[in-house]
Amino acid sequence: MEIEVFNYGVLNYKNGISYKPSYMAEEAAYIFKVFRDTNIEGAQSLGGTTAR
Amino acid sequence: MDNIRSVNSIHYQCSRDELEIVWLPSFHFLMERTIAFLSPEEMNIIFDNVKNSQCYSDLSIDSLNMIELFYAVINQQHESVVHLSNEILIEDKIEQSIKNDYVLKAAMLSNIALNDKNSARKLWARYSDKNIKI
Repeated sequence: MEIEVFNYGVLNYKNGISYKPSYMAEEAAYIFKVFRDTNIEGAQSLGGTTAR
Repeated sequence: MDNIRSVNSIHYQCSRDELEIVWLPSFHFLMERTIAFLSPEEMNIIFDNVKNSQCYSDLSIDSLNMIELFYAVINQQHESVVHLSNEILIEDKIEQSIKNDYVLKAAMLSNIALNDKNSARKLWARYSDKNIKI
């Protein structure tokens, strides 16, 4: 039952596109690494600008 | 990557409208993609990035409450989740939206974690669209 609920959430929030949880875990790890590296290197590493 | 860039825009895009209409939904989406898979310590790296940004102080009270709610969820601070959800869900009737659905789920689960099932039921009774799965 819990797996069904989890899978529903996975399917639903991706607008019907089926992603496996393992893919999502990899994606989350990638996002973490980007922000970790950005904290070290500064916001411009993502193409930002300090202009307000 | 577009979603990451959009969240990162808080370092240079301080327009209140942009923050409300573009940044906050992007941040919400990023949270939903990461909370279930990263540790609180890893999530706090993302929060540090946002909180140290140039435009963080330009966010509205509502947006700050949402950010604090995500922070409380990540760190399992159930009393804070309940308190913040009360600040966000101020209308008697909780209308269906991505934001409201998340706050409702978080508040109900935190109430249950605090062994207050009655408050969780009362929240659910206020939800407008009980026919959909959230």
